[in-house]
Amino acid sequence: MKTSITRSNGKFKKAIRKGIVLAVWLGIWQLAYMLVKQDVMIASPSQVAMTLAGLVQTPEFWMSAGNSLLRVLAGFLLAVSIGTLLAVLTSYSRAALDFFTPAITLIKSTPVVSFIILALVWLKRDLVSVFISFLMVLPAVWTNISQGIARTDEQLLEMGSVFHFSKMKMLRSIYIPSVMPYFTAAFTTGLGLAWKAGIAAEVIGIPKHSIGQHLYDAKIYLETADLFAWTVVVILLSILVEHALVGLIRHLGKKYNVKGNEEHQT
Amino acid sequence: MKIVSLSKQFSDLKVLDRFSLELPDRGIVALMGPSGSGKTTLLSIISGALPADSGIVEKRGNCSAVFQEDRLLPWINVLENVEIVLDKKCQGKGIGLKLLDEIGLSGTESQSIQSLSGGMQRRVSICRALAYDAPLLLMDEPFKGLDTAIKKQVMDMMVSHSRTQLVLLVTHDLQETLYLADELYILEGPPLCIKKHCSIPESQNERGEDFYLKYQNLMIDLKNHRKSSLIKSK
Repeated sequence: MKTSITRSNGKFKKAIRKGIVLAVWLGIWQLAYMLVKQDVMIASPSQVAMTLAGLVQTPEFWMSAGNSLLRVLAGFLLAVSIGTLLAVLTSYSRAALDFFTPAITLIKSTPVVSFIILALVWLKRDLVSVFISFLMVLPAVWTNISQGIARTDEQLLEMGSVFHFSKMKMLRSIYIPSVMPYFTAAFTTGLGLAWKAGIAAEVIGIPKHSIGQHLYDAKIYLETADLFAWTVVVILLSILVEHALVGLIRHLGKKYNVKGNEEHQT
Repeated sequence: MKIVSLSKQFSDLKVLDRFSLELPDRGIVALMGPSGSGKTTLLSIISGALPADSGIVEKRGNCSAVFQEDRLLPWINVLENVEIVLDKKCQGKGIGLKLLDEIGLSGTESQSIQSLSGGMQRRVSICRALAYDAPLLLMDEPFKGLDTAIKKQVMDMMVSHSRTQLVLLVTHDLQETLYLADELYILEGPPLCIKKHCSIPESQNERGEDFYLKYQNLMIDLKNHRKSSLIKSK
């Protein structure tokens, strides 16, 4: 009983601390607004809240948020699947590693905007942000998972081979749990990257009914409150999706060391 | 079990050079010798974890092992670690629980590996090796980190299991050898070679004064060898 009281007290204190920090930052934002005194340069927290309250009542808001969410998620999930397969392939084949390394290095070091412009030439507007999210997340997933595979404990693998583990058992009992902390790290880092790159691609590609289109309009018509409100929407969606997906992985992968440490970020 | 002309070289170091050894089908055979002489390499080759450069290992079937390190899976619980070596059909039939109980770990089955002490983790790895049904059990310093009372309990368990299988025990502990082994090989190397071999009678009465004299001489040999290998390495 005592433990649960202490725990709930701890959670309560943590929530209060977070609330205070948030209030201080909102205060700083309000102060900056009052110092600048120009609505075009910076919108106040109350203006943003009111704009947001107005936006959520329109069907256009939900359609745009839904479209952007779907595009970013599609690119992200594609990158996670292909990045994982690629990491497995390059970990076991030297030739595949030699073949794919220059391509991954190229993707990592090329400015995202170059790819966006190229993608605009190659693809339909609607698909540009899917492709860009995919491209930005792929190297992160590949690097992290390759690292996880490389750092799988040799002694455990030797134990598995001495006890004649089947390939499936080796995968389920040793490889997947060893790679899982790296996978979850790649998952959270990748999700953030997918949002940033995907929305940037939308702002340049301007597909209809998208968050990017509204951000672009806000820039053109100098509606700073709209710009801030849509940015808040992107941040909130990113946090929500991250919580939902990471929660889902944790739930599905309890047996596979999902709770392991998540510091292996690249 | 037969080992015929086994050779293994790591870069410039010849660890095994046409090493041969014939062993009985059951019982406990102790291998003693200075660190770095090649005992662990020999066990790794017998287990199939390490390929030999040349030579043959003739054994009756698979082998089980207690490694120098515990090599437990930290993401599954104690019982799952023991039963992981079993076929799916045998899992959950109580073999793991029975062994854990026998080794003094009943009640820990659903605990995580990290919550156990070093000695308890050692015992889990011994249980895992005993759960695996194989005619040969390789043990590389298996009682390291166990306190005296528990060591005695685990050694008794080993004696009862060795009636059906051959246990190859690498150890540096003379008391362990006297208590457990039916045969003792004193090795030196690298390259690994047999310096002395003796049978250890099971009952204290059969051993007599002659045995202890012979055994004492073996131990003096071993000590002298250790000293000389230390001087060499300096």
